[in-house]
Amino acid sequence: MILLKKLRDKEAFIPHEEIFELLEKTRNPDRKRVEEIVSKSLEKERLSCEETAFLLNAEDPQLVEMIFQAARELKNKIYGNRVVLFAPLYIGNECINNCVYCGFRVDNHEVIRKTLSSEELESEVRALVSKGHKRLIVVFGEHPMYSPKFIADTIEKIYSTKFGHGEIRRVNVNAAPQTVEGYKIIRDVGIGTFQIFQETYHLPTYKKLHPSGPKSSYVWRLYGLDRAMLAGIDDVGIGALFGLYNWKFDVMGLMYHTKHLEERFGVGPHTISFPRVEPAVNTPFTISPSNKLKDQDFEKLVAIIRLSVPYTGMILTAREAPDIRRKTLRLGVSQIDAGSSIGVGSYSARDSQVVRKSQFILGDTRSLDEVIRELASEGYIPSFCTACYRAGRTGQHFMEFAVPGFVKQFCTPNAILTFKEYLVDYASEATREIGERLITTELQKMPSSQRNTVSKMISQIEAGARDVRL
Amino acid sequence: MMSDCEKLLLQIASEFGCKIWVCEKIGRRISYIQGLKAGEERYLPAQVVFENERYAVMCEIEHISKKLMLKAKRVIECVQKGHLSKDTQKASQRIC
Repeated sequence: MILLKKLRDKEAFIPHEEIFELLEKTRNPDRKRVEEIVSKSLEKERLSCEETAFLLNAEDPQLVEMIFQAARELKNKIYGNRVVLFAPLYIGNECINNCVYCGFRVDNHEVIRKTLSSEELESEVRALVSKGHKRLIVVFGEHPMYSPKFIADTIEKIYSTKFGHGEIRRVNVNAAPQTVEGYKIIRDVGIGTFQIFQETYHLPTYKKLHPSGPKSSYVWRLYGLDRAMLAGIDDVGIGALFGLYNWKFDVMGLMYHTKHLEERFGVGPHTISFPRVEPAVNTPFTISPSNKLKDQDFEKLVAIIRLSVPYTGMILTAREAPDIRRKTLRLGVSQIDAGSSIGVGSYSARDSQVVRKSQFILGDTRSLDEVIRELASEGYIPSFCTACYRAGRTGQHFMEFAVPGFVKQFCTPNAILTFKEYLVDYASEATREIGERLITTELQKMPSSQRNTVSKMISQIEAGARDVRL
Repeated sequence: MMSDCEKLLLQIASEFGCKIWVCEKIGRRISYIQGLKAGEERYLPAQVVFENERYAVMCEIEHISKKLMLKAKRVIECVQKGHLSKDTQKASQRIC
């Protein structure tokens, strides 16, 4: 804490003046310029910050439609029709920060504080596995209780919990920024991605909204993922909470953060998240945030991020209502959570006080099976694949694999195989019927040699084998 | 400047016509060590050619020969001796 007080906050690699100037000078872009930028993106090249600014300033409905159309095309080119599914698991909501938009803030005495015991953690994991989940993001408040050792022990416990045919195969982490030594302890248990959201990249707003606690230091948080990289965590996730400041500025912040990580470490973020402020218990700020982002702008934001960073995974959570989730899936989102419950301990036990143990209120409360059924009926392959990070296709190496050849050769078959596991082990009758039809259709799209290979692997799953992958 | 380990990987990729890369085993994560790969993408499933407690050499190849395994073992020995380029050392400070 003493160390944090000594850190002087500064803009660092988020050059505020430059961002404002870019957003000013790219106003009212002409059609030709937008077409050029969109073409570059469709060639799967990352856009410069200036090019992103041009897209952000495209207001003409025809230009916006051009952006949407390109985002749909790019998403399809790179990711195909797969959608990766995960669940959030809140481990504890103790927190020493005082973020004005967060239900967990230390001054919020209406929130019920809880941290899962080892037994409760096991019950939560069993409940999640019994629904079919394979990938988790574990979430911790910022509190001395949640030390690197505590986080590492939690992850080890999750990995060691088996239930029926199921297990969690990848644990991503959303926790407070750590020291390099702290990250090393967490890294050593084999995590997927470490996420830190800057919330807003605008320094004066950041200072106003984070009045106390370690999170009040802008630079400590901003460089949090640099320290993770230095500790050997090469898959990191960035994010901003939209509604805190001007959304265009914060999209630019995400782009400058990406550029910084690429320049310093040779690899950008594995994922980008873009949650919007949602209501939270006893949190007046969330009722009417001053920079509330309209749905139409939110869709534009998703499309522009997709075009700006073609190879970066984009995460949309169940904060959002089903309708906006459907729309943004088409525009570029590659990962969603489903069947989520964000009250601490609320997967395994019915809890009438669940809202008072939650950070915010969910917009999509459908079950995993319902979401999967809808995805499959719309032609998406729900994927629980975790193959890459168990084959050394991580960090810089991972970026090579988001190419169409690789997607067709590996990602689509692996998505089908994990979906098949789900259908055999967990799906309702209605979902199984739709899912089997989808798998048949997908197999028909494959060249015969690949179809034979995948069909054999599907037979292995039907015969009881699990974790079958290419 | 290319390190001894990188040179060895290039030589293997060329001799066996494979893609090859080196990873650190971290729990169930098999984590790529930045800079330590060679060869073109073959679109074949990744296979472990050689591993010890800490490292694994992965390869995309149709058939793993004894000769390839021995060379992969040499790669791991090289990594353990710390014969890495400055870039790789910087990116992967944990090694050695």
